[in-house]
Amino acid sequence: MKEIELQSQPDLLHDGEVPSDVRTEELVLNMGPQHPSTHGVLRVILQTDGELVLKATPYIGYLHRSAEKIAEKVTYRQFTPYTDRLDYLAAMNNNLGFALAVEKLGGIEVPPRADYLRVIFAELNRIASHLMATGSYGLDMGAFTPLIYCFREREWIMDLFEAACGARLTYSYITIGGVREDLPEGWIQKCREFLDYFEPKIAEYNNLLSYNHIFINRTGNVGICPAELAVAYGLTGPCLRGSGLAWDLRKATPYCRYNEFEFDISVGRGQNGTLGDCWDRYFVRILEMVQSVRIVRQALDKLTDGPVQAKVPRIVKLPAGEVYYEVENPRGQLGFHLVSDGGTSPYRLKIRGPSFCNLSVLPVLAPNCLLADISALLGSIDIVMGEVDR
Amino acid sequence: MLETAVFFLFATVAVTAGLAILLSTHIVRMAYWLIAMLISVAGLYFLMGAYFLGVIQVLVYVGGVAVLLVFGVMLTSRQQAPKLRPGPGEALWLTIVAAVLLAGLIPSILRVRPEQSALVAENSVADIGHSLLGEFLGPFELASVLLLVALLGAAYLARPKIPVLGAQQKKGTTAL
Amino acid sequence: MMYIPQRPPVEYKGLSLKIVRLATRWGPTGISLALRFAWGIFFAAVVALVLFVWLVGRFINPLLPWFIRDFVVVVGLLGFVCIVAIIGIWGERKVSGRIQSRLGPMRTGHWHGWAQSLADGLKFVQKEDLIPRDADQPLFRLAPYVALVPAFCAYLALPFGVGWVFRDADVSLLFVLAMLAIEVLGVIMAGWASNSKWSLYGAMREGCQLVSYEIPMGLSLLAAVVATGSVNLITLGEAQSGGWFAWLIFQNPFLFLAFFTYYVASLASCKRSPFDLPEGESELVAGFHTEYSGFRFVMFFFAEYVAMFAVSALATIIFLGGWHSPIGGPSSPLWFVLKSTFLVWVQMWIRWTLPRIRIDQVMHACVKYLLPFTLLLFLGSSLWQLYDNPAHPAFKGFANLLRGVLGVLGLVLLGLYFFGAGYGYYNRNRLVGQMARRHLPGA
Repeated sequence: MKEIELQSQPDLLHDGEVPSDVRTEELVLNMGPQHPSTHGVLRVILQTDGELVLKATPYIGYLHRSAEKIAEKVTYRQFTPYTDRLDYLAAMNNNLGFALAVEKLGGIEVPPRADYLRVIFAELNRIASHLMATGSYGLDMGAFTPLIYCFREREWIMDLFEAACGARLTYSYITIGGVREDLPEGWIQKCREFLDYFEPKIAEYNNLLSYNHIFINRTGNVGICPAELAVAYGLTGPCLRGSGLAWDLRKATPYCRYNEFEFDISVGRGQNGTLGDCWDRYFVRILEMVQSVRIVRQALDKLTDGPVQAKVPRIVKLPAGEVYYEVENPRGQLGFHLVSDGGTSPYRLKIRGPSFCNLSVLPVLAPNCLLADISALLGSIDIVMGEVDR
Repeated sequence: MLETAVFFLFATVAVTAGLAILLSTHIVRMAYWLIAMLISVAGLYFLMGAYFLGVIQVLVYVGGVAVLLVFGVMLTSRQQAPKLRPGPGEALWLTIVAAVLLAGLIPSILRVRPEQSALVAENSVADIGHSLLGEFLGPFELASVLLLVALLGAAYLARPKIPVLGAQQKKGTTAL
Repeated sequence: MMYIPQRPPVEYKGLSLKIVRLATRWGPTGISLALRFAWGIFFAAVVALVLFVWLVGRFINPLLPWFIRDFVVVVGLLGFVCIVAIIGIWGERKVSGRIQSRLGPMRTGHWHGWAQSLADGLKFVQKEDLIPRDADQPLFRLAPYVALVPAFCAYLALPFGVGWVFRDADVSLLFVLAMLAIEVLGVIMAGWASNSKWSLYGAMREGCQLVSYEIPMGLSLLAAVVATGSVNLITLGEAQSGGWFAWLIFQNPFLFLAFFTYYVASLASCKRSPFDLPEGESELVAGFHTEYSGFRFVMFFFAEYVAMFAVSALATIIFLGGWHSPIGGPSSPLWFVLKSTFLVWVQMWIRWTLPRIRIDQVMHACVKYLLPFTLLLFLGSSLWQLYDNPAHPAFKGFANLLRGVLGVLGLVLLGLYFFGAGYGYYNRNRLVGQMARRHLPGA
């Protein structure tokens, strides 16, 4: 593998030129675990010179709940609710990843109806997650209204989910072998109504937030992440696609019948500012919502009749072996490295959280930002601490 | 009678604030005592009927100069103010200089006769405008040149000296 | 039929229960009675108040010594200012709710939550008075008053109509500007005295911003001063009598633009979004007033709404005809209050629509764009006065043509606004989210 040459930002505290005249004091700021714009319990220690940030160090672990260790003690089915709570905003996708990993190792075949249902729910959850990301990003930038509008749409999706599986946020709906139960009557009709209602709303959000000059000034040319840097730090998802790389696991290594659907990979193009800035990452999410709507429509049309669950015993026992399975979460590639020793619980389950890797690029992008840009950066990287800390 | 009372009120505040500036040890409090003094001086201007001058005093001195002063003071003294008391030798010299100045000032103050105190001018703003552009045009323009020089000097002194990103680039593997 | 779980009703306990009972004093049985008579009581109170004011003004006023009269007027002004703040806070929450397709306060007071501000006041008053141990004690306590008192003092020279002013000073415009400028110090004091780096940041940014934006504000107003030749607010107001086309905003293309630059600069001067970086709710928690709780915070909050109304009032007097009616009826302070309230409402509208501008962009916008532009407007307005006199009859025709065009343009904009509002209201069910149960499967 060739050595990737990086252009890393100069470390101004140690090797930069220190001017010899009066220097204002450097402040060490603590964007503490409780902060409105750190999207969860994240602590960032900022060394700033006035308004300019010189160094940012994130401290994580405040939401660590030992999910991976717990996995070694509970059975495979019992672990599904734990996957909900990793990236709690995209719980369906987490469930999907875990179920696919287990099914791959166990050689379990999933009926087609379950596959299409999985796609529908995963994509609806992608829309919900991106709505949350977009809304809270607007809130970080000071635009209070898009948040409420996005939540309004999200309520609709959550009502759909509640009708299907009884929960609004942590579903445990996509289980090993298929989905937990079939759709209630009239659900498909309501889902189509939602899609018809939602598509014009994206244009509304674009007019309200995306093309707003103030928003573009806040996020364009801020936190520019070149493609090589993104690859080197293991960024995935909208962060990677915002830097121009058209890499989407749903197209590259299709799972769950994604190869039967027609959709585009949303890539940042540097329209407002440089390629790879915060605006690109944000806009990729907006474009992905459009694509998700497309996919859900196709899946609703393709929905066949049949069972929604394969015949899987209540206590799943997997043959010895290991598998690493990655799925495309709204935040990036969520990977499950499952090592089984033939028992009812995993021997080791390592979860590759996309937000964990995405967050690692913060100290590289933060220097030479202004203080207000840190919020813009964090919002555009879009982390969920449940995934970072597990 | 009310005028005298108000005058003494403003004057007392001004003098007290001035003394507090001298005797205070906390530099930020000194700045705020200065602001109190400037506002009471503006009150004295109002009392004299020089409304325009009083308002400009508040607008420019308090709203501009004092704010900048407070900025500078707040940004450069995060710790408690250093000891600002003069030593004994300095105190002696300062007393002598102050006594000399007072000796010059007090006769001038006592020489002012009550009839000479300022009259309330009707249409004071228009009068000031006329004199600025008529009688005092020269000093007016000189003052604006002086302000321009000050602006240029400030802009030059505040130019950025820390190198901007892009001037230095290091090649290497992951820095963290 | 799908089972849709209903949320249980809210249960209050302890002190919250007492407060809720106090705020919603009339139970569900008494509320219909109260509502039936509410409007009657309200109108009776208004009529009684007007009668009382007229009586006092007509008969008692000349008999009282000047200090009693002044005292009553000042107390009245204070009351007006407090009512402005209270209604402003409630209005902000309702307006923000409606813009965000939700309702805003609905429970306290049983009618659209009108008593919400009062309930909030009660809540704030009974809070613990927390002062950080390392905070600068005297300055910390002083800061809210330094922020609020100058904002109130601006009303001393603000005329609501001819004769409806506390002191008709010759330099009333500059006096109001000067009082609004002192508020900066209160905010900086608050940021410093909190002994918290975050508050200090908020104070720094705010100081920069306010001081810089005072200049375009003043210059835009000066463009109007040049058109009228006086800094006296009553003279400025009286120069616009005779219908909407006599308003200063339509006299002069430069004045037309000066109104908008003044409005933008006044947004920055009130620390309103998009310039609300000092309050940066998402970044610095609450900026310079993070450490303030209870009644001290209420002071800052009040100061904001009081200043909002004051700058809107200035804009009304100088650009929008003040107390003169646009349709040619008698002029009255009511028109003044209505127009100022409209401008305050637009301020709230802007706040809930636009994101926040970063501080360096704020400064850029001021120094690089707004300031040269307002200088040009000032220059243009001065030149316009030079040529707009009987010595240049040709220019007079051109000037009148431009005035007509501007007036028509203003009317068209106003008409578009009302049309849009009507369209939105008429189609509100179709346009606003349809949060009804219809989207639930099986319903």
